[in-house]
Amino acid sequence: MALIKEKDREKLIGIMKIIEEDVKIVMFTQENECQQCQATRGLLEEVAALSEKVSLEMRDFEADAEMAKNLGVDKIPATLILGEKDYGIRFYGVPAGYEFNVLIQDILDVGKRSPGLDEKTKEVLATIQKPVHLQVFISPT
Amino acid sequence: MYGNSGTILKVNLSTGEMNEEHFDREFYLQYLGGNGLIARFIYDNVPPSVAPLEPENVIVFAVGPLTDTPVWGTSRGHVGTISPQTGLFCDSNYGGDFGMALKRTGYDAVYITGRSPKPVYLSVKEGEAELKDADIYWGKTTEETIDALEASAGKGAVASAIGPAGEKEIVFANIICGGKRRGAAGRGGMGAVLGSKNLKAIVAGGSRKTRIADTEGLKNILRELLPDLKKSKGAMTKTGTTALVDMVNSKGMLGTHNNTRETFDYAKDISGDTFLKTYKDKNTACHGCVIACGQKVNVTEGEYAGQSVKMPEYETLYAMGSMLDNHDINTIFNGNHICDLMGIDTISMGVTLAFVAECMERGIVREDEIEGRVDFDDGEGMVELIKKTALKEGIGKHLALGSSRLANLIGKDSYKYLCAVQGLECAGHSARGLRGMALAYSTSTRGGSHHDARPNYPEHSHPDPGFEAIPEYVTESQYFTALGDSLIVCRFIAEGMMGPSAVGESMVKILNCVTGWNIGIDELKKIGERIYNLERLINVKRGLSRKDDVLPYRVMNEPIPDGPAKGRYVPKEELDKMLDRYYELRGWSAEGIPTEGKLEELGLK
Amino acid sequence: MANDNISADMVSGSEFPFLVVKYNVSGVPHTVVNEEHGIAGALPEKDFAEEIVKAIGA
Repeated sequence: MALIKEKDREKLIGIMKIIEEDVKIVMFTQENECQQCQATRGLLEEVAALSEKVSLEMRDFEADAEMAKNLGVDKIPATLILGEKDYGIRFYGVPAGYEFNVLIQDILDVGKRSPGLDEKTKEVLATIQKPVHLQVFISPT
Repeated sequence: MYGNSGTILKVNLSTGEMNEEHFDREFYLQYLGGNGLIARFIYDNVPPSVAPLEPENVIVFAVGPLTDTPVWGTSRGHVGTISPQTGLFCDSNYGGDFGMALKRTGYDAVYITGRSPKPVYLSVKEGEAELKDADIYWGKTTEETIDALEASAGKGAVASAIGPAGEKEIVFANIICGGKRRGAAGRGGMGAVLGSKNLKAIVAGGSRKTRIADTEGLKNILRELLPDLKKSKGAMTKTGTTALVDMVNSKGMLGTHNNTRETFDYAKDISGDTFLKTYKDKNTACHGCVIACGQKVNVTEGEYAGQSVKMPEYETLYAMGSMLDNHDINTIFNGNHICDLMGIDTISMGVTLAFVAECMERGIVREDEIEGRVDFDDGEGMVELIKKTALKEGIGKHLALGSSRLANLIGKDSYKYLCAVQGLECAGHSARGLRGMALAYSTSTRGGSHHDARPNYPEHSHPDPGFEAIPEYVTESQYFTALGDSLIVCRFIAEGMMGPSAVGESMVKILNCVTGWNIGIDELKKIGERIYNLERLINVKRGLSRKDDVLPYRVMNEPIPDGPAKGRYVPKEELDKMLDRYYELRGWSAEGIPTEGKLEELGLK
Repeated sequence: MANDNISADMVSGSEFPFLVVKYNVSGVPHTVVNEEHGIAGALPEKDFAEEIVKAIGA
């Protein structure tokens, strides 16, 4: 059963036509998938099918522990959005509800290779010289 | 009026307004005082939509007609509110002398609502009250606060206060009540309610005497009853409740290792008849009590080494001792003292730790998840964890949620290891072993409490009496405790000379001597029934019904594995049968809701 | 994406409740910067960026 409704699917396919460059979604799950991991995988598979430029790579948190560690992934389900490099974008938990909009927006931003922030914001952020790890807590609606 | 004063003090912390309200003989004939009065006020003034930590919640401190009379154990007081731990009506009786001091101001109760914009304390004197700045006390321990307030308020003044845990609105924060032998309104997180209101303490003092209708008659009755009292409760003078540890263990009903077992190999090390020989410092007593069960102990190791601190009572020896496989008595002295200073319920604290320890043992919660570890048989670790909980530091943030909320976060099958009913951790009287406690915990208004229906050794322990006579027993016991908490008289004094477990003639006689009334046992029981139904109504309006009259998973599914009570547990069919009969006796529906007919009979809307 | 130094996780509070307790998250959205500082609520883009800079400078 599709997680994304038919009419939304149509709309999303249209929106994602603006993606110019390849976007790779990497998901970390585990062999004995919990319900959240299953739900996330199902959702990401459908999202990847919406554009030829978007692909999905599945990884195992245990089998690929080294890769997880290098990418700073410490919990699952974990969804990463990568372009030609890793921008440090992570989703922990099922990207449902409000998080889903953000997921799509991030895919678009990575697909355009541009964060879509206004100039003033970019100026402020450019001043940051040390590592910054942001964790934004949300609840699915 | 004899007994009661007829006047209560109402305080609105939001506006600072205070006024008096008067109640007549009729009111007291319905509700007595204490527990009864509190239930009435909470029912009338706190709608089900009000959350416990909102300003609109009401907390009431009350005394009764017997408070501050020659009857022993009448310096105590009672307090009640909607509990942040359970979301239900909660009330608690506390020892010490605060009840007596409040009675001497001429107020039968202090009714508190609202939220003060800044930390304050309430000073109550005869016919007057004032809210005073408590900035300098905020952050201080209960001991520092009570000592300071009593010193500045003068001779005879007694204070009750919350500690930092109440200020931080920890859901099992308590209220410590002053006196030579201090008491605690322990269960249900009422300290958090005061914390949410920015009310640090209440100090009361006056010289009003309670009018007694028949002083001669009262003197005679007390003289008659004294030998019985001494015979049944005299041992408490030496050990308080602490000798219960060995006794309960010998019956195979001492909750051990988060209640996975009920026999503790080291029970003797933490039983008062043993440890007091080495550690006892002196007795302390509630004003005028002839039993004087309080004790202080000399700590020889750890945090408070070299100091004399309040002796941990039976419940603490269970919660911080056997439940944690801990038989290092000094660590229990220290842990108990920290709970007293910071204002934390020792039962909820210990049982929460035991719950987490078992979850960790089973690998369903990890150290990195809750920022630390909880281990069995680690008394020193326990002391550190209690400190962290009081300050909500690191792992303390997680522990401060209490075992029930933690079970929700941990998920998986953690509910199987919970020893709580309605979110209130169960006390140290076995639900599997003691047939009475099975129905007691499931129907107690405030949750897993041993003070609505009482534990009854040896009758309900050995030989196994089965579940037959339990509904009748629990019904009577609940009247007995509701009345005892309304009069107000110490539970042990009541059990020793007015009970032992159901309302006796002596309770009626004493009440009539003091108040000048002429009521009989049936009428008195009816008052008890009215109070209990009112409490039930408050909970029913908040969504409670039969589905909530439950017992922990382990109690209903896992037989006691060894010891004299081996094999006992509470099968669902037995609980259902008891509930059916209990509701019938109470005149409630099959869903556990008081019927219209019953409410009319009791004069409740 | 704007700065290689910055990585950002979206964390579902209901699936990671211990983190909610660990970081004292009492409302959402709530942003934790470098496991230490908290920014409550949703802010306008530039203000949010300035709060982050403030948090790490502090």
